[in-house]
Amino acid sequence: LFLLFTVTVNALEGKDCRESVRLIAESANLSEEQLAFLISGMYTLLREALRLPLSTFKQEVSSGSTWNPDKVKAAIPEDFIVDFSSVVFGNRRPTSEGTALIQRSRLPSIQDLKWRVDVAISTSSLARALQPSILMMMKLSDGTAHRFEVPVAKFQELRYNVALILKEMNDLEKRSILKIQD
Amino acid sequence: MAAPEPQPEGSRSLSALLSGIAQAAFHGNADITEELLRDQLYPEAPPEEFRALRAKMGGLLQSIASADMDLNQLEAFLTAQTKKQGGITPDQAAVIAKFWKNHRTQIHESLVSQSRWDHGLKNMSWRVDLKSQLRHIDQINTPVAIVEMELGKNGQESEFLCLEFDEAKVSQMLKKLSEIEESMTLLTQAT
Repeated sequence: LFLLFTVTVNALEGKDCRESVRLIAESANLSEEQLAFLISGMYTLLREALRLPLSTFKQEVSSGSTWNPDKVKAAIPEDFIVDFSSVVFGNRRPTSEGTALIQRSRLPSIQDLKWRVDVAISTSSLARALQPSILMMMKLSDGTAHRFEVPVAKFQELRYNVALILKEMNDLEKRSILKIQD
Repeated sequence: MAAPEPQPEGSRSLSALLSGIAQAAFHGNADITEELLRDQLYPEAPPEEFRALRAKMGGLLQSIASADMDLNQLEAFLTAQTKKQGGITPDQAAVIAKFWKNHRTQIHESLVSQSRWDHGLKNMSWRVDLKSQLRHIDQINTPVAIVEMELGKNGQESEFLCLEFDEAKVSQMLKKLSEIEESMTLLTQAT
């Protein structure tokens, strides 16, 4: 049982557990169905626990725990409670929380940005161009890459906007009007 | 213009002719044909005469646009043309000068964009959200910026990129943009 527990915690921390699960399945006398039941039960239990902010908890968690009335049916052995509590309240919590933060629904973000300033000296339409232009290569977190040109005027606009965004974010943090307190 | 205009009609027609030539040559307007220009502007002129006029004016405009002449260069250039055999009259020079003064920026932009073949950044819009609740975590209060960038080419449909930035990423981006700005300043100082 403890092995299953370890595996579940690892899963919450974003690690690949297929190998571990397979080993458990082979060594224990559990049918696939029972195994699946146990793992999903533990996963949901822990996930729900991690979902609620730390401050709402009391350290004592009993088998008929108040924060998860549905799980009352699942008879959780006493010694197990200790392990559960240690994950929810103890040192490993930040790791699980960290993973949850990363895996949430989000739009792609910029992973890498490379740039280059080109100056066109002469073109087929202009004998004397001397026009600087910025070339950008953006790699996003979803794996796509985008290459595009930014004329000087647009670049200034871009720079102004980004500075404005940063200022807005700073202001927002300072104000924190919407700080939802428990 | 020091001398009185002998043919005010002529100036207007010439000005219109220059516009037409510019439209066809620089802005890629294929509808403006020689036929059309002659019919509209110089209906009484014999075709060969008109063709010669158009060719001469077209050539001049091409030289002026290609070199992106400033006013000094333009004056020198046009004065030289008036002194040439089979060149232009001072009145015509005046009309051309006035035309270039008014249309220089527009034509230059058009020519520059003819050498841009990649996607270009056309527009960006953004907003800053405050994330308060998520499925997995009940309470966080971090600002996040959502940025939409329009990337497109001339005459093609734009692609819209929707991106997310946390504060650290915005800061990083700003730093990179500052580096670019520095690099460009050095460049323009050198040229």
